[in-house]
Amino acid sequence: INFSKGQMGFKRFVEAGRVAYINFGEDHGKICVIADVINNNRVLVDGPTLGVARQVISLRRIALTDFVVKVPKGAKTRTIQTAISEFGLIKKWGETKWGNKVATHAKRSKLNDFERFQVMVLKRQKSYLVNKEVAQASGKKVHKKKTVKKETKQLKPSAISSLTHTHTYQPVSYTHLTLPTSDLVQISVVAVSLKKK
Amino acid sequence: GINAEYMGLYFFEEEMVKKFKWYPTEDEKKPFTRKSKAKKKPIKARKGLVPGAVCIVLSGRFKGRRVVFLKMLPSGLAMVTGPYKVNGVPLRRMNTAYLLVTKTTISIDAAAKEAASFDDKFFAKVKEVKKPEEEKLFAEGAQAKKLPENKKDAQTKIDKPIVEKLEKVMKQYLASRFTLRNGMKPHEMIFQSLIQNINPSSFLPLKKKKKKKK
Repeated sequence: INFSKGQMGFKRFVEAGRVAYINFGEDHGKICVIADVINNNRVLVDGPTLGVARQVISLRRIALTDFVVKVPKGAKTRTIQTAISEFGLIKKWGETKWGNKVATHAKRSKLNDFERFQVMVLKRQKSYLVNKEVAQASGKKVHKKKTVKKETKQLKPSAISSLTHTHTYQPVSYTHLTLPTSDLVQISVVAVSLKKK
Repeated sequence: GINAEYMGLYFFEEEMVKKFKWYPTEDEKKPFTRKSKAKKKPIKARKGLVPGAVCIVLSGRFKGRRVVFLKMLPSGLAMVTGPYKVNGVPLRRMNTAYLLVTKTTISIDAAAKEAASFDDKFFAKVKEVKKPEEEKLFAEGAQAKKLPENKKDAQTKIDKPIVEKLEKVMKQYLASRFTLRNGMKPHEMIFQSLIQNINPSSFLPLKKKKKKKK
C-alpha cells in the first residue's frame, strides 16, 4: 500500500526539523526544534537561540506548529542554530496568531498593578467604541453614557498596542452582523459614522 | 521508757519556724522588666517602600484604597496620604504590615519637604477632658467633633503639590479601589519587580569556533 503524507489526513508530523511549542515544564511557552524521535512518546529537542537546552521531552508536553526547519535527523545544536536563523523562525513565529497570543500572555503576566489598571481602562474604552458601532449597525439605540466625555484622554494607539497586543491593532470587520448585502461593511475603532448605502 | 530510735524519726534537730503568718495561695506575678537596657530595634526597611510609592491598603477602614506613602515615622508606622481630594484617604498613620507596596512611584519632592516636619505627636489621639455626668445630661444638642484647623491645613499643604503633578490616568488609578475578580490569582500577580530565573546562555547563539591551522 502506498500512501503519501498528504493522504493521511494529518498535516503536522513529528519529524526532525518540526518546530514544536512546549506546553509544560520549565521551558513552557518556548518553541523548539525536534532533532530526533526516540519512540512514540519521546523526542529529542533543541532550541539554540530559543532558550531551550538540548533535551529529551515527552510528546505529551509538546504541541506541533506549522513550521518545519530543514534539518537532518539527529542534527547537532549548531546545525539547528544555522537552520533557525536561515529560516527566520523567531520572526515568523512572532507573526503568527499563536505566537502573538503567547507573547501577549507573557506580557500580561508581568504587568504591574498600575499597568493592569491602564489595560483595564483601555479595554473599557475600546469595548465602548466597539459596542457603539455594533449597536448602530444593528439599528439599536445607543445609550448615552454620562460619564464618558468626548475629550477623554486616550492613550496613543502605540501605547494600546504595547499593552494589549504585540502587533498593531487593525480595524475589525463586522460583516457577519449585518444583513447579507452587496456592500462591505467595515468598522474601525477610530471611525464613527456608519451608513448603509 | 522512750525508745531513742523511735524518737529519732520524729525529732528534728532544728526547729521548723514559720516565717510569715499569712502565705498567699498563688505566687505573686512580677511585672517584666528588662534586666539590660536593650534598645528598641528600628523596623527593617520594606522593599520598595520609598517616599512617593503607591501602596494598596489591605485592612482597616480604607482597605482596597490606593494610597501614597510619604515617610516612616519614628514609631515604626508609615505616614500616608490619599491624597484626600482624590480618594478620600486623609493624612494618616498606617502599619506597613497592611500596605501592599507597588512598584509605581509618584514624585513628591515638595510634599516630602513638608512631611519631614511631621511627627507621631501630630497624629496621636488628643485626650478629652472628662466632663461630669450632670453636665453631659444638660448639654444642649450633640456637639459634632470638628477636625482641628491645623490638621486641615496640614492636609492641603501636603496634598497640593502632589495633586498638581498627577496625570489624569494616575488620578483615576488612585481613585480606584483594588479588588480581586474572577481569574485573578494574587500569588501570580506582580506588584514589585519579578525575579526571573532565565539562563541567558540558552538564548545566545553559539560562538564560532576558530579552526586551528595545522
